[in-house]
Amino acid sequence: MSDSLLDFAPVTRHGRVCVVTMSYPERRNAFSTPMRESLVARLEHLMFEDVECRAVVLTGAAGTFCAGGDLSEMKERPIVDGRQVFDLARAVVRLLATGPKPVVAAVEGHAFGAGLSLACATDYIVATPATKFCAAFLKVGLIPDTGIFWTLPKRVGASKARELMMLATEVGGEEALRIGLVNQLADQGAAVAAAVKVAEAMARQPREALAYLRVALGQGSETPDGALRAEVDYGAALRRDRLIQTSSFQG
Amino acid sequence: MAVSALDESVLVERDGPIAILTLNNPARRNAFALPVRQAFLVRLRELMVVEDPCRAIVVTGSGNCFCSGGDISEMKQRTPLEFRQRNQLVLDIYKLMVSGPKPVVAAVEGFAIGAGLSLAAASDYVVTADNARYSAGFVKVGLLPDTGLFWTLSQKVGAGRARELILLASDFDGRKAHEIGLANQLVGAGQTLPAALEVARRLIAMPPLAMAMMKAALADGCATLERAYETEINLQPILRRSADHKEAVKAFLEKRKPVFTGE
Repeated sequence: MSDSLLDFAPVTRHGRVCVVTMSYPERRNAFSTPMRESLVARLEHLMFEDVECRAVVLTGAAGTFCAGGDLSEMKERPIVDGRQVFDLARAVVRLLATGPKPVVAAVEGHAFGAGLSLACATDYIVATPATKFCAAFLKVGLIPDTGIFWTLPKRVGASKARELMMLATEVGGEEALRIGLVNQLADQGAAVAAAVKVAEAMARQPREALAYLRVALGQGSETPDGALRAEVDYGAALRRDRLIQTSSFQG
Repeated sequence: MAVSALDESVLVERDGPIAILTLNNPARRNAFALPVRQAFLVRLRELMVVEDPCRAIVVTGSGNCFCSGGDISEMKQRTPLEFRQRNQLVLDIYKLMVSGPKPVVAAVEGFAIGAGLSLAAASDYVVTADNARYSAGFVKVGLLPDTGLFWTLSQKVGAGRARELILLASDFDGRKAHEIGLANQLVGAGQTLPAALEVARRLIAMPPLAMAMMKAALADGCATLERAYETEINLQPILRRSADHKEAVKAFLEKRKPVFTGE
């Protein structure tokens, strides 16, 4: 991948917290193909290779989060080729939702369409009273995507999720907090600072336990059996790590 | 099934592309008796999957009452096989409501008890009167919830609250229904139908094919994160080729309202 692609998602460091900023201001940080490529490359590195990084903040440049898919690049493709386009988006969601390190979204301005999906795939959302959220997909003749069929009902319940997706209603920051879409409101312009604070608190948690927790929540706990299996498998692995680390526990 | 004989127990009215399906047996508070279920299923199927111009369905009850649930007077002993056949009817109703191609809005006044609660919970959007009375009822008559309530209720109100409402069969009013997320909108008594029609008007402005695929995806395509991705990949590329999507993009660029045809 060329450096120019990475420019769509530059990273800044705040100690153990890395801030990934979606930067495509002329299209309000649209989730375009180069944006998806940059995010996959950046997140893969931060999640799996960068040992200094312990938590990630995802945000957008120029006072807005992400306006969703890039309508200007939605050209007509054969259906079979259209399927492949989703691989990158899926990789981004998978990294955000089940990668080993916690992710906090700092959402100012707009989080529309796939922008809302990206925020929903994180562990914790900080917004401002002026932030606007919208599952705008249906308005352009599409169904919701980028994982939101699963992530939004988890946050706000099936009833509200259906309403937001079927009517493509715009939701402001205050309402987003009330319905459980957002975890915290910050002052306008201060979402990243607040998100970094939350991410720092998460970065202080035990690294392995956080990684297993995220996998269990993202993949393991859909059924009673799955939840128990996650407890038994991951719990056992963590206890074993602890025993090795703390010799006084042995015997 | 001869529909003419059933005409009175479930009414269909039209408001442009919106169909209003009214349970109409006010003498029994619109109990979901066998003939009513049969008529409801016939009407619902006609509106949902037989070629019908309607684009959204509003479900309500006559006489300021939604539905008071199964008709106790007809709960006589039957063989398990007979009971299964009767249950198949409500299962088909539930499936059509949840995964049929058109959005369903419930306008709930008065009672939504037992199967009445199930019908509300199976709708995509619920407008409730503040003084409406809800109860899962079933356990009080020695039965399990039916008409899909096991799934729909916990989806809408969360597993903890669903257990409470099903196990205790406690009564709750419209305000509470709104507070716990069962109802989307709270209005004064007598105001639910106009409010539901208003929601339906917003829903019919959406592209029909995307709406149909979205209902299918929500009904059976998002139980896990992996399943949700698969659903997207299977459906979205088809929609990208649709006339409605092209029209929406064109309208967006031309800064005008799109006109959707369902193609």
